[in-house]
Amino acid sequence: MNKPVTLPGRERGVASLLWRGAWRHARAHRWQSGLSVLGVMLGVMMVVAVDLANSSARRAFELSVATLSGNLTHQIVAQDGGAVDDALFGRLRTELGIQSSAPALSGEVSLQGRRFTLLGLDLLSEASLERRRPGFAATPDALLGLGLQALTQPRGILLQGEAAATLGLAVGDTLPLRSGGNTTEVTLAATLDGAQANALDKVMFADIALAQAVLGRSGLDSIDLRLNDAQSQTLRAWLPPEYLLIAAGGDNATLEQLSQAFQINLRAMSLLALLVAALLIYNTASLSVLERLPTLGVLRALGVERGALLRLVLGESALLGLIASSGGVALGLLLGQVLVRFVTRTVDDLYFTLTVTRFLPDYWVLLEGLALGLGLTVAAALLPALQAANAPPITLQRFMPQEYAWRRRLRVLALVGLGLLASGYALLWPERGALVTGFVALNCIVFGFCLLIPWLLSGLLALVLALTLRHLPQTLRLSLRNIQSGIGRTGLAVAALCVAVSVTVGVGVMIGSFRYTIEVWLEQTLSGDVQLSRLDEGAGIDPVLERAVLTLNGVQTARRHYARDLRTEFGMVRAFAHEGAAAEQLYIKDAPDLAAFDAGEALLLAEPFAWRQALNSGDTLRYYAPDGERSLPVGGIYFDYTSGSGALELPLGRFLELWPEQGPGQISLTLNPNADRAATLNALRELTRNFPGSYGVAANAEIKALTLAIFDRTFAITDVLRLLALLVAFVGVLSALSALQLQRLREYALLRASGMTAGETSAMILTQTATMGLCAGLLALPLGLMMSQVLIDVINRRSFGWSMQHLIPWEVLGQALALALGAALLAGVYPALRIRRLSPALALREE
Amino acid sequence: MNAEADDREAFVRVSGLSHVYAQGTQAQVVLPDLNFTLRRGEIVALLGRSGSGKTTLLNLISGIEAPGQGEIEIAGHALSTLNEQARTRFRRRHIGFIYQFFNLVPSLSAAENIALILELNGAPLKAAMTQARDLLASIGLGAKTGHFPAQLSGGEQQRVAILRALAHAPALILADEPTGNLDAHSGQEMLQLLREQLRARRGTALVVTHSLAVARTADRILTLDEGGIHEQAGDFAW
Repeated sequence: MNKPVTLPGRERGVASLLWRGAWRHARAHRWQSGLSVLGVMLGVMMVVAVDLANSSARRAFELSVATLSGNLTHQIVAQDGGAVDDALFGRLRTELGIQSSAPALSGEVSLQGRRFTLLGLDLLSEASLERRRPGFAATPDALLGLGLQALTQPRGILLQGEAAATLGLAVGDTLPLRSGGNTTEVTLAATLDGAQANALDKVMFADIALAQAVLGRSGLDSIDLRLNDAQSQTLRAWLPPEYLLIAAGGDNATLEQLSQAFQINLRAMSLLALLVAALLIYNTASLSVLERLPTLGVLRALGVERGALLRLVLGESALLGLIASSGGVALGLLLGQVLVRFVTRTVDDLYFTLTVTRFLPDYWVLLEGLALGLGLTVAAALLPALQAANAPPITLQRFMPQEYAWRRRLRVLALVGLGLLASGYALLWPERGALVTGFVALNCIVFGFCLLIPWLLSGLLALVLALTLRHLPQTLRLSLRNIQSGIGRTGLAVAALCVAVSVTVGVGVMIGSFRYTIEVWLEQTLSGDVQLSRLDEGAGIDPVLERAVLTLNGVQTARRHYARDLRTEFGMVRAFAHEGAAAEQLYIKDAPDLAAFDAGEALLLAEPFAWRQALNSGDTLRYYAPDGERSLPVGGIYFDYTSGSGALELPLGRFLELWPEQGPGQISLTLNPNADRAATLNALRELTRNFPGSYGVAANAEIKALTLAIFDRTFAITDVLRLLALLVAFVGVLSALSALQLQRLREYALLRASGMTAGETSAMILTQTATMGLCAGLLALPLGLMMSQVLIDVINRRSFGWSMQHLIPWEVLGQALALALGAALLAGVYPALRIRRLSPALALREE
Repeated sequence: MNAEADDREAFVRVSGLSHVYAQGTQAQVVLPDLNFTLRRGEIVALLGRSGSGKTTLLNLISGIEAPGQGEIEIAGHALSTLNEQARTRFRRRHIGFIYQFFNLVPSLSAAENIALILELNGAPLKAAMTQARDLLASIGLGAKTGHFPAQLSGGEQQRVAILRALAHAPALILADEPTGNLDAHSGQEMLQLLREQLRARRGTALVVTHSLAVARTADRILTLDEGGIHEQAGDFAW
């Protein structure tokens, strides 16, 4: 008997020569590798940039909230949303002995054209409250030291050091602060340069009395408190009925939730782009494995273990992912600085006046981007790597025609796809599901459709070939047959391209629909021809001015509109009231009891507020009047896109019952049909200059233009991201199709050797890529429309509570088709040129 | 040589081997009940019509496929006791394969193709490359160590493939139509090289061929058909 055989140990790593071979393969296919890297790089860049912008905005939000409220537990506010009497603060301290309390007052002022939030402080109280405001040292001593310095000078204010330097101000300078049409001279008493001073670049501090003088207000916004449970119970019992003790930060929580929803949408979009990039990586890695199947088969026959091949392909992808993600993170850092302006501006416009707008890079985001890019690239390469590991040894490969196996898989894939589509729509079924469920459903629908594509494509081609067999030119027939016979590779590429292009359709249709909705809403809600508004917060139009306006030449009728903040069971809500019937003023969504509203017996809710608080027509809403709690039934819901936070419509009578002294904040004027509009507008503007306070006069057309400009500004970031997604898709189309064609050069060389001219072969390649691009573009249209429907009816509704009209902007569909076709044609150019230069004999020998 | 001596010298023993491929719902018998042995140091030619199962037999002996029935013993080790991973490691260490279409790795140079099998068997890269270059130089291809397969002629590629198959001194060489893709002159050169290398190492080889000329250079000739495997009568000498 011979001695027993010995076996070498299990391969722990990958032989260095295998790495060398893989590197040479990648270098020989540098265009495909480069395009894959570019695709992932752009995807990572988008995720990192959006994440950085979001985290900057989030930190800005947190710091802004902290700047305004600090570490409070409770606040005392007036039930009617008005001012809190100064005297209450004194009584609180003397009668109840609650020292951890401070009065609060804030408002907007402008200095040299820049907006600031002026915070009124009672520094001695602040010291005992030990409120931790960013930028201030937490110790009472430090606070007092800083504050006393300001208090020693009459009319002294505090300003962040950097903001003061930007404005060219030095300590001791006199500054004109403008608020509500009045200007007050103050002195820069000191500058703040704390560790977190960047939280204060849009904040000024003044003594509470000076703040009241500058803002033209008497009383306080609130009394801020830090209480334990026993203190809060005592205080609640003691508090006069016209005041409420509320938990601090309640309103901010709603605002934060809203701005987070906006940010989730942006993040979802950037992740979608990264997923598209991952899909393209999958496609490229898969093609690369298919291309190397014979070589992998040789390696298996030589005795390379499956695990080593798995590690080899995953290692290649990891390296590619690392290079792409590093580049993406660096680019994301740059882009993030641009995007943060868009995000903070949007949050500012829609939800909350941010006192911080600076780019605050979060280094975890960079690491997260790197990990995400790397992880997704490796995950995308997992299936191709398994395919490589399971490559049959070379001597078995001729028994396993890959494409035949693929054709058998098509039906299974299609069935799985249908299952995913059905699951996606099933997940959308409950109207009030979570936002995350909406995104899961969206992904199910996208990937379900994606799996249907190879089967759809195969069927479509079979149908076209059967119907037009005798009539098609040979080149076209051959092209279609080529796509059909290689359905494993071509179906995959078309699916990847389709998803990439559909993202641009989905988002494009969503934005177009939203813009159209805003236009319709403006048309419905802007009554009259010209709007006269009082711009000072809370102030009404001077009655003398109102009477003077009505006597102006050209003015036919006027309608008053009122607005105040109303405290409800759900926190502060903007309450509106109008003269005239509701149907003439509002864009009603659903109002089964509009007559009750017109009769003053019901209120109407803005759609986002009703959605967020799960209120419907027929429900009852409680609100607080100076004389106690009241309630009214909900008579209906109206469309509203002014704000994501709360708004409602009170019958005018009810509104004036609450605030009898409140003048109208806005008047809609209808002009005589023959009036000279420009002259009337000029006369109006001239007239308002004679009255104290700030007024705005604008024709409806100007308001529409301005609103749409704000809309465009809000969605500018979405547009930027859509353009970047478009770029990722373009790179993807280019990468996938050129890889596919280059892989088939040997087949084309065979055709050349069989007598096909270089021109005919090139034409065939271009026809093939164009057909695939066209199919991807055409299939992207229904998928994009399905995506937009989910974005509009589910994602946006769950994020913002808005419902929108559906509009199909044809230019978006045209753009998608042009993108798919253009990129596909471009992808065919290089292989088509290469086949012209390549000798058939050389090409046949190459592999 | 009597039966007892035959048995003692047997390096590869195939007994009761049969293999079936599934074709849809039907089973196709590729190899019927095969019984034969290969002795250490001998070169055996295997003849048979296309589709008779010659390549399948090589796949089974090399452990690429597991047999449906029967046993294959190599150097006293039953392949059926090894799982797929162990069979792969066994192949890497003890078997050298030569193919009709050379099957060199296109992204590796001639020397690297040879060094790869040495590195897979645990040799450090530098030593493997040195040995590969020496081997190439020994057959007159010293100037082409850095050439890639596409830069070599068919004959040169097959010579590199032979060196790759022999470099790690495997106990068994399996060759599938090694001269099938070469002209007569290159074929003769290739056989000469294979013969010299095998003699020097007392290696065993099973060479599948359609060529009687190639078969006549073997120590023994086996033929494979539906009825099984048969030894051809007659003396064949190297």
